Amino acid sequence: MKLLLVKIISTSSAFIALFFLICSSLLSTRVIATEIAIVVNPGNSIEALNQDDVRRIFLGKLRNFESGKKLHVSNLPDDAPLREEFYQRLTGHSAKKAKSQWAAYAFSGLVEFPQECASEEDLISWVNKNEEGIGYINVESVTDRVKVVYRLGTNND
Amino acid sequence: MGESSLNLISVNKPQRINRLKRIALLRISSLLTLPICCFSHSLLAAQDFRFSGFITAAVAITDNEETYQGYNNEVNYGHDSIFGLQIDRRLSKDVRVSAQLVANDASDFDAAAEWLYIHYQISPTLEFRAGRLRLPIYQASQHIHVGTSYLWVAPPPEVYGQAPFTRYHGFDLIHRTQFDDVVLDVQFFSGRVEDEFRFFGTYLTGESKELYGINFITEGDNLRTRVTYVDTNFRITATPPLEFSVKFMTVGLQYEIGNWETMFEWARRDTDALPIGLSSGAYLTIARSIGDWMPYVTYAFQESDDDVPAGLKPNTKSVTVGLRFDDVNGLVWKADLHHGKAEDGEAGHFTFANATNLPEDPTVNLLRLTVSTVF
Repeated sequence: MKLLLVKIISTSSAFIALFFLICSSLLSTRVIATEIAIVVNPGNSIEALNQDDVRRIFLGKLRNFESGKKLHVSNLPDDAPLREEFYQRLTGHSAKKAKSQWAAYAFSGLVEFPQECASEEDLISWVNKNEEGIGYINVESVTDRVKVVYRLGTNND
Repeated sequence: MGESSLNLISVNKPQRINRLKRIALLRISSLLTLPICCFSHSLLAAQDFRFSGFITAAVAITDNEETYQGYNNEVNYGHDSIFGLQIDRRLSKDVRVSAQLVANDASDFDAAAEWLYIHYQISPTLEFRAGRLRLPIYQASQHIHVGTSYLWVAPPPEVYGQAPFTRYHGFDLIHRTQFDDVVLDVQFFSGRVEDEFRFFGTYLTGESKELYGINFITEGDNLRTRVTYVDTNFRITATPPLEFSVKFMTVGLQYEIGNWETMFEWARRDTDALPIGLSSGAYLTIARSIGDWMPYVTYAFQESDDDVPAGLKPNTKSVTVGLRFDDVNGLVWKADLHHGKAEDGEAGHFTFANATNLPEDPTVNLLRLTVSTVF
C-alpha cells in the first residue's frame, strides 16, 4: 500500500514537472517583441537619447541634464504587458524591481514619483501637456502630439 | 549598542514623557499648518498635490524570554509595523514642498512628521533642502520606513542601531556631478536634533545643538558606494544629564552582478562618554534573485572597546537567513530567521541586560514576517 502511494506520488510529480517545463518553454517564446518608442513633449529641446541615458532616466538615476532640463518619468499601469517588457528589455530586470528602486528614491525626497498613466492614450496626453514629461509607448501608438527620442528596438535585448 | 548602558540613567518616567510627547506633537502640528497656510489659496487645485504612501504589517517572536532588540518570546505585531503618507507639491519649476507623516511603534502609532521640507533646485547640479529631514547616515536610512524599497525584513541593528535618532531640523546641500557612467553626490548637512528616541525599550530625550555631516555617494550601473562622517555634541536629558561628543563614520558598498546582489556597511561611533564609549559594527548581505523570489543571508556583528564596563558591552554576532517575495498584487512578503548571540558575560543586544542581570541563555532565535506595499 505504502509502496503504491510512493509510486503514484513520484510518477505524478514527474508529470507535473514535465507540465511546468512545457509551460515555461511556451511562455518564454510567447513574447512577440514590439518596438517601444521613448517619447517626450514636442516642445522639449532634447532630440535624441541613447540607451544608457534612457535606462538611467527610467531607474531614477539621471534626473537633470547639463542644460538645466529636467525630465519627469511616466509609467503605464502595473498590469500593462508593455510595462514589464519595457523594463525587462531596458534593464534586464523586472518592472517590480524598478518600482522598488523608485520607492527608495521618491520616499527619500530625491526625485518626484513617476506619473502613473491609465493607458497609452493617457500617457500621450500627459506627455503632451507636460514640458518635462517622458514615457514609453508602442511604436504603433505614436502620434504627432509627442516626440520620439529613442526607439527600443527588438534587437536591443 | 549602548542601549543597555543607558539603563543606568534614571529617567523621570511616564508623565514627563507624555508631556514631551505632547509638546513634540504640538510642534509638529504647528509645523504642518505652516506649509498648508502658505498654499491654502490653491487648496482647491487638489490635482497639484501628490499623495503617496507605504505600509508594513509585521509579526515577530523569539525563543528567549529576555527582550532582544525589542522582541521577546511573546508574539509582537508592533515592532516593525508602520504606516506612512507623503504629500508633495510642486510650487514652481524648481521648488517643491514635501511632507511625510509616519506612524509606528517608536511613536506609539501617533502620526509624526518624519520629513517636512522645501526643496530648491538651485542649478542642474545643486539642490538645497531645508526643514525637517532624515539623517542621511546609512545606505537605506533615507527610506528605512518603506519596506518595499529594500531587501531585508529590517536593516541590521548591529549597524543601523548605532544612531538612535533618525531626523534633524536643518538643511542639506547636494552637489551632483555626472561622469560618463557614474554619478557622484556630495552632500553636506547641518542642523540640530531634538528628539525623543528609544534605546531599545527606554524612552529618552536627547538633543544635539550642533550637527555637521558630509556624505560622498557614487552610483554607477552596478556599484553604489558611500562614505559618511558626522561630528556632533549630544546631550541626553536625564538626571544627571549626560553630555558628550560623538564622531560617527560609516562606509557602505552595494554591488549587483546579474542576479546576485551584495551589500556591505560598516559604522563606527566614537564618543567620549564612558558608558557608551566606542563601538563599531558591520554586516554583509548576499542575495540572489530568482524570478520574484529573493533569498538572502546576512552576517553581522557589533563590538566595543575595552573601556566599556563589563556586562554592558553591546558585543554581539548574528546570522540571518531571509526571503523576499514580490507578488502579482504589488505586495512584498518577507520572512527571516535571525540567530543572534551576545558575547559571554556581556549584554549584547539584550535590551535590559547588564552585569547583574545577564540573560540565562545568550543565544536567541528570532522569526519575523512582514507584508509591505506602497500606494
